[in-house]
Amino acid sequence: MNTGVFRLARLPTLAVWPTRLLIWLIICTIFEINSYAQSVQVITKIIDKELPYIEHQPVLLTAQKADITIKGWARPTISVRLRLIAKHPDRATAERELAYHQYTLQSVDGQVDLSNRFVIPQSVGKLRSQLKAVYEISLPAKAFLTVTNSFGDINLANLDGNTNVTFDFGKLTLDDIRGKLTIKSDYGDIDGRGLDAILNVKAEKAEITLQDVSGNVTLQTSFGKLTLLPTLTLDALNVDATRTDILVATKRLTDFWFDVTSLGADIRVPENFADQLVKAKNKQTFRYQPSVKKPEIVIQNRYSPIVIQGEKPLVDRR
Amino acid sequence: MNNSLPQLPEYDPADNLWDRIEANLQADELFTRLSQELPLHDPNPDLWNSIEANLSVSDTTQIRPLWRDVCVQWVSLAATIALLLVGVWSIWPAETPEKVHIEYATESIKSISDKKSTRPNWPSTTSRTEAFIAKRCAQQKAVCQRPEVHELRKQLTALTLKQQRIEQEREIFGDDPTLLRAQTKLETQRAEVTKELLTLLES
Repeated sequence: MNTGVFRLARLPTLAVWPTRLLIWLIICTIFEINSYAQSVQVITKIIDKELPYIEHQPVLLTAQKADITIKGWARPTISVRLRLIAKHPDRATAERELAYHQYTLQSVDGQVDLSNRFVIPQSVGKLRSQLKAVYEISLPAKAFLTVTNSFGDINLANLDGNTNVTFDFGKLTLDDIRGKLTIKSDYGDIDGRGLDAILNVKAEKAEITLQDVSGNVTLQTSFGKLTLLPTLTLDALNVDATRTDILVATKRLTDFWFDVTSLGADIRVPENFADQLVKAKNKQTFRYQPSVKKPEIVIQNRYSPIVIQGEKPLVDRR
Repeated sequence: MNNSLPQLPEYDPADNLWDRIEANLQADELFTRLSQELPLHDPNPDLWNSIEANLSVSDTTQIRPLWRDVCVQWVSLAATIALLLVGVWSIWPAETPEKVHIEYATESIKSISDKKSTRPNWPSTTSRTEAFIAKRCAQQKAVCQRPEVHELRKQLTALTLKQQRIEQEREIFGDDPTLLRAQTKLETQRAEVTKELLTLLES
């Protein structure tokens, strides 16, 4: 081990400190260059706008590659903060490509139009920066809202109006939603809690989790996973699924009525309800309908299992 | 300059010019002296009375206030309406002009290996699997006509279409993290569907 820095000890005493200093300087410079090469310039164009909201006026949000947060509030205005982002190690490149972001935030012909898009000249070819849009919107909770997005996450909270969401990829998070909500998802996951709405979901290849769900729920799913935790205030829950792994977790199974059918796959229920499970050749049914009327859960699934749980905490399925 | 002076034309002054100047000067002097010698007169003692008498005649003309003809109520009403309008206008919800500003920041890349897409050479594997499935279906038509097999094959086609769309997006946006995530998801789905399909066909 008599190498490198240790040899410095043999240098004349006066030369030791300047040499050490020099070594440190070199190390620091290398670090500096390294960290410079690994850093990205983030240029953000921020647009703030307030628009008046007239009752029953439709609000259209047409987004691309955007992360969206929408919150309902009690004021009669729509407040929008739109961030248009370009990221690239070279600032000039990021600045140039930031200009490919285009947007509209306006109220025209009795409807509010909020949108962003990318307009890239043909000559440019492949983009070098990473471009992205981020919306933060507050609007009247009762608004008539239509959202479309792809390749981005959507967060909706405190809405009590008529909401329509169409998206693909990314994730939709729902928090405290009432009124009417219609969702169409393609490869986009849905995570909801505190829902008490007329909820209509049509999803393909999505992982859906709905906690504390009540109201009137209709789900049409194909592939993917579905986890449902209904509350006692549920009106009705209808699931029509194909190849969707379904889990219904209740605090007490006897709080609900069940009419569950599975084609070409198993239904699993707690042992004490095994009597109600009827297995035919290719079809299984689980019907539990005691005399007292309870919220009804109707499920049909093909080629994927259904699990009904009660009195047990939700197990982690991943 | 000196040469040009003799070239200028000559004029004779008028004959009585000096007499006129002298008369003017004498007139000034005379006016000053005479104005001091003027007698002083007291005004007539009843002059003010006669002026006042004349004024009292003009008193009979009536002075009318400008506002008398316009009813006070109407004025106040108009003012109230005007004020109200201003108030409503000021609180009326109006489209505020948008505020735009630009922020600069620096972010460090998490790791360069992130950028390398986790792309197993799936196009070749896929085409091989698809060829196998097609061959299998040609051999055992009965199996392929089963609804679950049919459905899975339909899904595989849908996945291919989605995959193509992501490829198109990547032609524009490059190695975008969201697109890479979407691609990974598609590949996982594809693997699951293929596996199930193969299991069904093998059985």
